[in-house]
Amino acid sequence: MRGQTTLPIVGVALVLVTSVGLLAVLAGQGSIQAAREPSVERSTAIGISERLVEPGSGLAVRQNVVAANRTGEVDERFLREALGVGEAVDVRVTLDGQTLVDTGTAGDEVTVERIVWVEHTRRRQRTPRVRGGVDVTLPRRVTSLDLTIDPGPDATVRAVTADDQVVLANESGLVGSYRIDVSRFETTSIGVDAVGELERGDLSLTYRVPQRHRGILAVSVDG
Amino acid sequence: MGRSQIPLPVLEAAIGVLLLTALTLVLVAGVPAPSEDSPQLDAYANDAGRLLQSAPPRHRNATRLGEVAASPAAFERERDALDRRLKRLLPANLLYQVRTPHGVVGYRLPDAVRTGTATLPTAHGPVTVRVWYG
Repeated sequence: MRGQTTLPIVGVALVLVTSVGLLAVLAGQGSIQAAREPSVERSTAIGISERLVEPGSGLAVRQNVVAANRTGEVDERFLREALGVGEAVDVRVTLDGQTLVDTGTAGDEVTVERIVWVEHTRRRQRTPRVRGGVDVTLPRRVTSLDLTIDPGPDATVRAVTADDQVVLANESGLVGSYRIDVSRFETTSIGVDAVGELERGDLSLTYRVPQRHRGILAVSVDG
Repeated sequence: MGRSQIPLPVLEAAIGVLLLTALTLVLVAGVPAPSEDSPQLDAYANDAGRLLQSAPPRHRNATRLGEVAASPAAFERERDALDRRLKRLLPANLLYQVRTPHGVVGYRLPDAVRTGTATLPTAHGPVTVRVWYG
């Protein structure tokens, strides 16, 4: 008598416990998944921004340093072909609030901001006086120097030094244009070992002084 | 039968349901709520770290970060400069903390705040950059 009345109750109880257990597993899984995955738009925006600040991306010259004169390279074709952004995805890229490219974002997009240096270079040319050995100090952040040596007939430039290390040498005389790579991290002093009378203008130094400011590169993605 | 009004299996089922619900609640509440801020904060921290890493040192060393992590004396000398640099670097709505092997620069890290973290290796040990919305 007792066993017969409880059998359906046991069944109901089992169904109840099983379904609650199932719901618990689903809820737990859902919340773990949600915690792990940022939205697709955000992932895309992070991905694009990561590519844009990478050296060799077309915009960046070094990690997180973008060249002000390369902002024109970021256009829709660049995004679609070089970065592989799908046709259905709209992207806007701005640098310090100035739009570089906008493929038609509607206004409810997800934005990711990156901190970068914006670098613009200023070209400087110097023709130092050579009496008593030249000593020109290049500012920091200069990466290379173009040196043109064109001495008169009674002068010979035998060597050029950078921070007292010989970088160019020729006993019978250096003539022509040379490029010297220098350390970006510290100032470099350029010296010349010459025989005879060098005149002003015989030696010409051209280099680019990078100047930079902090910028915000923002990538907005509209799924 | 007359003694207990509720059948035993129903009681067992009720206890089971309670147990499972409790477990679910712990799981759901214990896992942090999904946040859309974390990737952005991580990106900020990474960028700040990279920019510090690529910055030339003020004195002799490989990079600015390496210089700060080099020794306790170097850290004391450079901490204000590092602090100024971070203030200049990060957007105004962010607070930061940089942990080096010889000390900490920046703000006190509050409890229960979502942070972005980047750990950078230097020759003298890891340097950790944390940023959060202030």
